[in-house]
Amino acid sequence: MSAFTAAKTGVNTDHSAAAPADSAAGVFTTRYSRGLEIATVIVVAGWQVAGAGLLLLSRFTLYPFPGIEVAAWSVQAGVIAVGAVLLLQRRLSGQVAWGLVAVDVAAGIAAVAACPPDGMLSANWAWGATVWVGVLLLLHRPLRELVILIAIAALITLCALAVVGDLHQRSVSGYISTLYASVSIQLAVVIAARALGSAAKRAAEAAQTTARTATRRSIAEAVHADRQARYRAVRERNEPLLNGLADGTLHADDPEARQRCAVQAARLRRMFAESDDVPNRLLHELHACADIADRRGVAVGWATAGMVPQIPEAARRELTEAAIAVLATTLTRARITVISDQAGVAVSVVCDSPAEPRPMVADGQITITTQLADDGLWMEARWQAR
Amino acid sequence: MAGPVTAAIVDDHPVILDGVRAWLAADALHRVELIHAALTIEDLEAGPGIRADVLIVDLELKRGMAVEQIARLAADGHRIVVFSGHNKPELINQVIDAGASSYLTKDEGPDHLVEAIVAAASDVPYVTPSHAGEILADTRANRPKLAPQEAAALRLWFQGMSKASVARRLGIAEDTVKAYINRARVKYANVGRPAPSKAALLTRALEDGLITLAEVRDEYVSAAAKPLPTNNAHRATE
Repeated sequence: MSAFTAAKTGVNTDHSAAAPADSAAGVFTTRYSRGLEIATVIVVAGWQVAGAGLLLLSRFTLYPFPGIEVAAWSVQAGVIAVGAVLLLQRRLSGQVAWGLVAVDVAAGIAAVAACPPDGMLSANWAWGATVWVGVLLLLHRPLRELVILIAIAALITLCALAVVGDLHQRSVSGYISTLYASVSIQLAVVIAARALGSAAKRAAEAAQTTARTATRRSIAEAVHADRQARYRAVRERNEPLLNGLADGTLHADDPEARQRCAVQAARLRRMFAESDDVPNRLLHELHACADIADRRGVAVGWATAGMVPQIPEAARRELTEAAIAVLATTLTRARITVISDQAGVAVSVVCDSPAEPRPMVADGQITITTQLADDGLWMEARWQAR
Repeated sequence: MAGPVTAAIVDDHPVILDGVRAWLAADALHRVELIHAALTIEDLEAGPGIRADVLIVDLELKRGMAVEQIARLAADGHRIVVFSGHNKPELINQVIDAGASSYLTKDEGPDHLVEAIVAAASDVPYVTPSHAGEILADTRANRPKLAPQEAAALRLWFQGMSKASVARRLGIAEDTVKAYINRARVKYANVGRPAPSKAALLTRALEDGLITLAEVRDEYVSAAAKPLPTNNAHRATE
């Protein structure tokens, strides 16, 4: 067991880089987008308190119905609170967002309607506030939805101006400059946030691609080096065997010589099979297990059926350990097979082991079945795909 | 059967020919007699070997994969056991589809070659472990549907158990294990391109009671959506 671990450590270290690289990019984008959401909540809540709230307080005595203003302000503050919680919990669907926008707009209409006729611009805190609440609610919606809300809010105030008969040159220019000032800030914030978001996404993707390429390269290098080393080992073992058979020092009818030849032939076949197989960590590790067994003189056959998926590391280790445990008690021959289908992956060893292996405890990831018969031991370790 | 089964081999590696002779000689019952060894399929067709009961063909000859030649020989009514260093599922698919009776990888030679030849000569299925693996891994849309017991028997056989051990594991008789494996194999005789060897395999399975006519209609034909083939209806036209 320790020999296996020691032999494969170099390769495993390189292999394990692949999964974290993928999830690191995911974590990066998630964390970035979470930061953006928190910042938006702070900006919008801050505006509601420091912008709209202070304007409301400073003009408090001018409102004919201050109760309506306070109620509208409170409703919007409530919408911000609910929207912020849903946004941060990632439960803010488009439907819910627009439901909250409707409440927000209704409060805005009430507040604008309750403005003093001569303070339709100067005391109108609700116009800007209504849109800011929408900035929060529509953060992950297409930009045009926010533009629609901006238009609705602008229209409400325009209608109010018309209703109180205050549509003269001075008030219209005031209206336009207010519209320009508030909308430019709101759109600037949203567009900048989106630009940063897509830049972050691109950066994360680039980091991911780089990590993947590096991982692939290190896997390829490790596999190549490993294979080179094994080819060297095979050559070193083939030569004396072939020389011995050629010069008569080894006899084909000598059982020991035959076993050495069988081991060598099995090793060559596995090596060919490994270069045929798609690179897969489980197969690679099982090939390594087989190599250790054949160094003890066991002829290890090899076959796979189906495409082997990448398996979670813990389950993969248990499958490999199960094979190692059985191979350790094998005397002369073993066959390792891997069957993959939609149900999962089954690693099996059939060998001439005289005894059941030591009890194998699998902690829930895999199930192990063994059967000892006159003609040998059968073991199957099965990993169930979800 | 009167006398041994006659066989001829096509292989361009002398060491393989020697190996095959040794394996045939090792059979205590001497069930197979090798009457011709040819280096190419053309040599085989020109010599006495073409009249052998079973042809043993190495899939990988110097001129490439012999899939099409195997299909042609099968269409001419020959029984073929394919022998290959390859263990690629798609290759096994192709040669079985072409009408080969059995498929062996070279390391399966000592244990399975004689059995496969004897079975092929009498149109009885013989599935090697490598072929079982291919059937298990088959994901093609038109693949025959296996019964759960058939898949279970194929699985254990592929993993390397003896049929006696498979029987013990599944709690059934050894003959039942053979029947399950053979039933799975016979289903493949009714899909893909037609060949006399496939029709013969189906006919023999019906005669032996391995499958029933009702099953052929309901289950076997559903995979291929074509009528039960008969011996003379399957001369390939191309």
